[in-house]
Amino acid sequence: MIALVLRDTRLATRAGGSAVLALAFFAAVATLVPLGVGADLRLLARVAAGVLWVAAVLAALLSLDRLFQSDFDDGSLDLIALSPLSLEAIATAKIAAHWLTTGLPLTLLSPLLGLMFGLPPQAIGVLALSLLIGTPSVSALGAIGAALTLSIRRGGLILPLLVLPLLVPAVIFGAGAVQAALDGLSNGALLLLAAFSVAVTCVSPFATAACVRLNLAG
Amino acid sequence: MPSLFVLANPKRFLDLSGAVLPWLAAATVLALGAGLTLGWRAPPDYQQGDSVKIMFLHVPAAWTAMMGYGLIAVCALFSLVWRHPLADVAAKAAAPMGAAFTFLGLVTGSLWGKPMWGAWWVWDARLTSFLLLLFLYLGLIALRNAIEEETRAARACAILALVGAANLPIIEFSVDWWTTLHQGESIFRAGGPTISAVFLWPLASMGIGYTLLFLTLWTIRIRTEIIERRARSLLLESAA
Amino acid sequence: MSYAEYVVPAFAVSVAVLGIMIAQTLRAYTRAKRQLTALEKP
Repeated sequence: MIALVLRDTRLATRAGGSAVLALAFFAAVATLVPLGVGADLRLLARVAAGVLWVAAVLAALLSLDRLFQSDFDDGSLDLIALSPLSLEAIATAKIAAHWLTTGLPLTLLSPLLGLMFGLPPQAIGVLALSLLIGTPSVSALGAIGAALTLSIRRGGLILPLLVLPLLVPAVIFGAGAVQAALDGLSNGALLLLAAFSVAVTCVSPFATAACVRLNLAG
Repeated sequence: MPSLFVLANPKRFLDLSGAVLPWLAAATVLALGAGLTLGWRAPPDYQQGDSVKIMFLHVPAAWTAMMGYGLIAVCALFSLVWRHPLADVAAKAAAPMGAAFTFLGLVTGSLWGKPMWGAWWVWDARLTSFLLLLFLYLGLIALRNAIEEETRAARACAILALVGAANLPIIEFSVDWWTTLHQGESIFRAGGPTISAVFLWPLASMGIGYTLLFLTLWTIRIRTEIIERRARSLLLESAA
Repeated sequence: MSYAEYVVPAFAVSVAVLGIMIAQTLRAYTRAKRQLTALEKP
């Protein structure tokens, strides 16, 4: 299973891979928003929590349709499925690899973007922490969407429609945590985020595997 | 559980539903008629004036929309776990209607909110959750239409419906939490001891009426689907 | 607060949406029935 994780990670970090794409998109959105909204740092600081969290989620979603698709298309998914690993383990490996190449880099880049939005150091810390805790849920829920849309041509188009409503709790709790740090309050958002993330990440491999099985059989 | 498998045979379902349908339709008309009459006769609210009557249109739509999703989730369960043959036909039939009721709930909710809060859209917990419910419905419909093979589409939609249903309480909780955070307005505190009898009766009538309407149309749509499948298989037979 | 401003549009939308739903459902049903009886004839 580790081998699978490493393989996917290596694939994604290559030149045309998804890791750079996610980072670039994240940075691009974070640059576009001030251009659209104005350079008032106080305003930017107020919207930073939400904007950066939404940007991170969208960036992580970008590479999701390729999670299974490329392996499915060239037949290697069938081969992987034949291996002694259960489909659930394979799903977990894919989710882990996706997070390592999207969620994690996004988390690492976030302090810089937080700075650009005028967040104070404490809020930046919470931003990074919330992304660290929350992005696994994006990968996990996204994997279900990716598996569901496997056999569809242009499946990548409806994938966001399927996955984004499910991700609402992550955005609410994640941005809420940063906002609380900004306001100097504590509202338990991080705990709620952690609970959501853990729950979703534990359940997702089963749902994902069921969807992959469904599409492989056909 | 075993009793529902009585309906598993399509022919059986057609026979049973054919017998029940006229009664369902009649009950629907009765309930809606009663609800509309009582609603018309009800006095204006001292706070909201006449626009309180939109509640008789909004709350039943919202309730039916949520019930619709619950029904789809149950069908999904039956389809995946117990392999009930008609379960995914039922789910397929219910989704567009649920989406329509959700849309209706959103529009009527907006029309209810405008005279009260002066804004067409308010990020109220109920309305926001409702908007997300619409997206869940649209996702189901989009997925069903995108997958060409019928059995695969059925199973994929069943999984999506269950994932959505499992997530829905969490989503609603988080939206609720979010509105308390932002001190959002909570208009739609309908129900409870604050609602007086003169409003309760039309509301209940309309609620029952909308539910019956859903069930009636749902039954007809399932019949339609069964008939269409039979026609399709006949076509295939004759071609072979 | 009068009826015309918001209640009537709300009512109109409800009638429209539900009406379309009913009409579409019935139309699909009769079409399917017609097709089946045509196929079952010979």
